[in-house]
Amino acid sequence: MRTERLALLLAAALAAAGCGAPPAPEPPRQEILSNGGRWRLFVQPPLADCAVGEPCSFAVRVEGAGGTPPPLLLHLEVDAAMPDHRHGLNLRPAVSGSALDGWRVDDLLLHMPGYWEVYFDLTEGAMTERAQAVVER
Amino acid sequence: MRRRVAGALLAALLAGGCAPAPPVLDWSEAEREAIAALSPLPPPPADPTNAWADSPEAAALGRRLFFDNGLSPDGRFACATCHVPEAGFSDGRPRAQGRVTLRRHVPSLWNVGHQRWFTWDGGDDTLWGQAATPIENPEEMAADRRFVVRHVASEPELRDAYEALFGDLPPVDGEDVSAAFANLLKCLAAFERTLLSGESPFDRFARGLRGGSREDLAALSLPAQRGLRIFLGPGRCVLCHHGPLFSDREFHDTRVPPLGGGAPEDPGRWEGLQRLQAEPEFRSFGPHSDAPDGERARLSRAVLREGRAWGEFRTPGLRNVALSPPYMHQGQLESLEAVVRYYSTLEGANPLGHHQETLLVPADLDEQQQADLVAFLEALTGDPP
Repeated sequence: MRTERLALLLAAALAAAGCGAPPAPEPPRQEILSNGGRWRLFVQPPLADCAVGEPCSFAVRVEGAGGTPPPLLLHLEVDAAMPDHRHGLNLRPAVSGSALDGWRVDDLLLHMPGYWEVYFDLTEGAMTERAQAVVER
Repeated sequence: MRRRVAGALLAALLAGGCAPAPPVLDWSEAEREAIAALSPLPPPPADPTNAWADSPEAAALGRRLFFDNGLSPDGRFACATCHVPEAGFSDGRPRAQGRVTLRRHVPSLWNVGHQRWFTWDGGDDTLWGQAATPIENPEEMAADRRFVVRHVASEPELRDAYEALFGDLPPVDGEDVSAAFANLLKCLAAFERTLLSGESPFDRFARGLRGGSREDLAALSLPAQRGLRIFLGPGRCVLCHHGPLFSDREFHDTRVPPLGGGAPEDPGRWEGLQRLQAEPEFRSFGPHSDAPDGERARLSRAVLREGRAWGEFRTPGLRNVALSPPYMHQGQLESLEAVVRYYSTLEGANPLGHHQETLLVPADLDEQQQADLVAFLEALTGDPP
């Protein structure tokens, strides 16, 4: 009886200390450094999860390369191209949200298999800096 | 005597399941993965813009309307006049024959419910909205919505079927006639969504590669298997004809010269995008859509109208392609052999002009390879539904 009570107390203590179920794994994300090294982007889920021929949605968060929060008026545009075929997207991806809360990108439609470059143009005032990533499907 | 024993032995071996394995090429893992991405064809994606898209009752009414010559004022034309079931839901002619010869080939309707854009130029973003154009075009069926609604009202069976689905038919001179017309278009689309190609020899073979039976693997002849390898590899066909529909559901300039020669005059996708944006009535974002703020409508609003769209046409799906010659947007190429020959050489191709897409290069296939590729395309013909 005493042993049982001790076991219950121990279990409660462990649970209170966060030693119960293992923590949920962090969803995978893709980190991209802008070409000039000014911004660090986090794309979730990674672009590799985008299926060919279907509209793809993902979240984008950004911080200064040193981990500083982004400026409020930082603006994001998303585009993509297949350099080997010399063509781009047929649809303009929709970008909503803000630099502070993070953006949501919808309708990135990579309509063909092959080598795609996805472009993230970050504009602050008169300065635009591009981050880019490759998707090969 | 010895021969009889050998014969009996062979018969026993065959009966015991020891028939020789069907000839199968040595497919790499990457090729098997690519083949699996092409088969089987799933059901068509949902169409939230049409609340009756998957209603059997709507499809039954749509089927009656599809074959009904009464939809044209002089009784000469039904949808099936040009979309002939026995001709792969096309008409076998290079260019469509309405009240005049039209400028483009009749596109096949097989698997049309899988498409994202409709007609060669993609000027329609819903299957139901597309049907309005030929009905109301003076050069095609030459009806109008009032005529069509009046016809349905005058036929007791059609009227009963309509009213069981949608309630009372409105008066033809009232404001609601367009809504009633849209309901009938949605029934036509519900029927067209049922035009699905059956399982093809290629599908059986793909199942065989995934671990299916010996009979499955035997479904694709060796020439067709070699053609499949060309399709995935040096032919580069799969770049545009990918996925279970064998189409990227988008638009390209194939540079095939116009019928009769000369410079290209058909703006294709460029004009389609203009129509899409200028005529919203039966579009996904229009007043008769059942999801005017849904994903389909969002995609249509996001579409880019750029110069490169000039002269582009929709990539056709290739399932049942052998059933609907001739080919290309004006039926310029009379057979699959001619299509494969064209892509092999690009002989006579239009100059690139303001198109910068460099996707199209001569596949440079020899005669045997061309024949193999045709054998593969023919193996995409499904069993009758």
